Amino acid sequence: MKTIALYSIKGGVGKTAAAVNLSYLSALNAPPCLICDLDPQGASSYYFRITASKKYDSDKFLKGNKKIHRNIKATDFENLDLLPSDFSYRNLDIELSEEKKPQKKLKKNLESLSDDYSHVFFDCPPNLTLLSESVFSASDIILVPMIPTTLSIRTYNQLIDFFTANNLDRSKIRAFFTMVEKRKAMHREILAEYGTAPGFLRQTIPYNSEVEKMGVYRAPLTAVKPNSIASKAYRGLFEELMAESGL
Amino acid sequence: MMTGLPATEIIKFNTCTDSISVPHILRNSGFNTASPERRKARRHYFDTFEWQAFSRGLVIQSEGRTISINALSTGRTVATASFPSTSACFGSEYFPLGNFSTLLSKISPLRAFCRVASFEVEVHSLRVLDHDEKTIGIVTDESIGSIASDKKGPYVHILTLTPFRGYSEEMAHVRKALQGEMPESVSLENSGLFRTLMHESGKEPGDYSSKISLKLDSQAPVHESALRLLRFTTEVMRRNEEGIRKSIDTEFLHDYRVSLRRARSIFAQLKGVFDPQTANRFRKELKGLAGRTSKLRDLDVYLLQQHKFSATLPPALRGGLIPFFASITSARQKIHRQLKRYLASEDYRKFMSEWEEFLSVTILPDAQNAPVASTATGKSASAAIRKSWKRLLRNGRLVSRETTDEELHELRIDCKKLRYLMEFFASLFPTDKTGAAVRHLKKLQENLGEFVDCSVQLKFLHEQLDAAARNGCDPSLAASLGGLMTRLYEQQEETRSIFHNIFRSFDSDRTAILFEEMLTDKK
Repeated sequence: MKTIALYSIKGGVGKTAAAVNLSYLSALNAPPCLICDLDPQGASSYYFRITASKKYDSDKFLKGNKKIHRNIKATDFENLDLLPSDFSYRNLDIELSEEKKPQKKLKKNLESLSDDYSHVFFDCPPNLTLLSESVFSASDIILVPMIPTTLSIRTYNQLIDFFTANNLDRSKIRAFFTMVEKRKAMHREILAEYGTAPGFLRQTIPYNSEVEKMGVYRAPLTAVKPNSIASKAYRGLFEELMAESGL
Repeated sequence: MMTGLPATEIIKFNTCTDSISVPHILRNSGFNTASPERRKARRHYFDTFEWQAFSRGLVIQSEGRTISINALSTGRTVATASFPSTSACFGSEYFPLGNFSTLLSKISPLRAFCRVASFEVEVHSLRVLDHDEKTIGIVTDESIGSIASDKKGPYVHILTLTPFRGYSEEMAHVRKALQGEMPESVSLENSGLFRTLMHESGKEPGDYSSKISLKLDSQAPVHESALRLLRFTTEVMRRNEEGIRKSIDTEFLHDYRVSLRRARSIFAQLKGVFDPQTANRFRKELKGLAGRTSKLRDLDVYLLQQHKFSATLPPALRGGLIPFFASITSARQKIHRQLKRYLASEDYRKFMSEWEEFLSVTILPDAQNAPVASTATGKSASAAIRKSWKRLLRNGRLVSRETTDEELHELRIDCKKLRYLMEFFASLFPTDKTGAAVRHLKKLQENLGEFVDCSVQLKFLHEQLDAAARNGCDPSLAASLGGLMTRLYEQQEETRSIFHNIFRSFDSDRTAILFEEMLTDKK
């Protein structure tokens, strides 16, 4: 089982869109796949029309294995399951801090899933907290979507610094550019500077109104509009990720 | 609160029920439906003659161009393959290497899988959606009926509910809604559905096994029990005739021959139970019949070992085996035709009817001619087994250090005799004791069996080599045969070298106690 976290300190950069589309492609090409919605806002759960059952909450999530197993739901797509998030996840950090080894918690809780899925995607909430640290340690790849702006580069560097300061494995981090608008000079300049930098994936995701419509389709764009420009870009990203990271 | 639905739930309807509208019922209960699919297809079920898939809890079925192996209890698909042909019988080698063919060969490495029943199915499936338009499961409406067009109405009409993961509670509401509209419906197990369908086509899963399953009465006269055993073995012969004629797989002939040997063994080992003149006559006739089948069996054994033989040789020598096996295949065809002709002949028909006539007469023979006919079965069985066991021990101890071929050949026959007796009368003894005793005997039998097989095959290959030499030998054939003979000889010497060890463990106090307990501890 390979685990890929869609992570960014900033919000609104396309984490959920990437997690939903990549997990669908993974279910298609390297089944079976699980997407874990870790964000209390539950956007990826919403995209798949799934709500957690009434009995499910952050408590169950922290209990792990069996409780998690029981709350996984099938999406409408073959070989793609989802662990829905619950609004109670907003307290995950406080609850994690009361655990013995919070950084290792996520990894331990998902152990029993390793026979069931070949790939697991985490859709993470935008912040840098104990939960994020737990995600870092549980993930094989930390995939960071970035809008090509100077502010994004700054937060990316903050993340790198955090990894260095805390002795974490920096080689897990892969960044890629999203919502790219070639007509904007700043986007062009930043792509020119970082497009081929180490740790950055070559494939970029263009700004595309189809991606925003996922909220209307409530399904992966790669499934409902496989020939749209953004879908093709996600496919390219997926292939690059698979080839480059040996997933 | 409603408990969730299992992985699949089958609801069976009264076949007289008018067609029901699933979407309509569900809409009234607040569920939408989507992606309706309708298809009509032929469904075929397959299994081996002895129902080996069924006995492992599996069902093999084809529909359209797909064949699948499913779990009997849940209906869950375990493996699938594409199945473009309409062939009625196949073996695992029919399919490309993969999951499906591996599973088939695990179910039965030797037997062919044949069509056991066929149906016309009409399937109507749809997705069930919740208020968020999320799919929560699939409902399949199936009518399964006869393929004969003159038969009216389906055998069964079922709805199968398959919840998506995490939606079993929601689907339980769907079931309630459907069952509420159909008061006569009942829940059905997948295995129950399979049995129903087999019953409708006049098949009874698991109805054949060559193993002796008779429950004998230990107080009954041994003559009566022996007749029952002979009737059983004859029934097995009869049931295998068709498979031999059609050459479906090698095991039909094998079971037929085992039955013949068992019948002969009953006459040979239960002396004084039948009138000696009649017994001798049938023994001779049965021996003759066995003789007519042995050549074909020998060739079957070589063909079954084709891959093994080839694999034991270095690649450079394998080519020489191709013409060798081709000639065996054509010889087999010829001999099979001969046997088929014989089985269809008046001679065979006449013999079998006389034989069956003899088996149907239950009057005890004259006490002067058959002095032990009226002895209780239990007593006779213990005496015969004890005698046979002691003889095996006596002869085994006489085997010299050199362990000559003749000694081992003869001891193998002693083993077989004891094994048959224990199988005949197994129902009279406690199963745990006979099971353990047979296990010990089996080890010895395996050793001797391997030895004799090697020596028979060595002899055969030698003859082939001689024949080849006379007809201007192809050197690659000679080299291959030489290579094979070397391997067989090594294997034979290996089994010979461990014989004494294996016999010693059979001729131990532990085994002796087991036999004594078994023979005194009658049920």
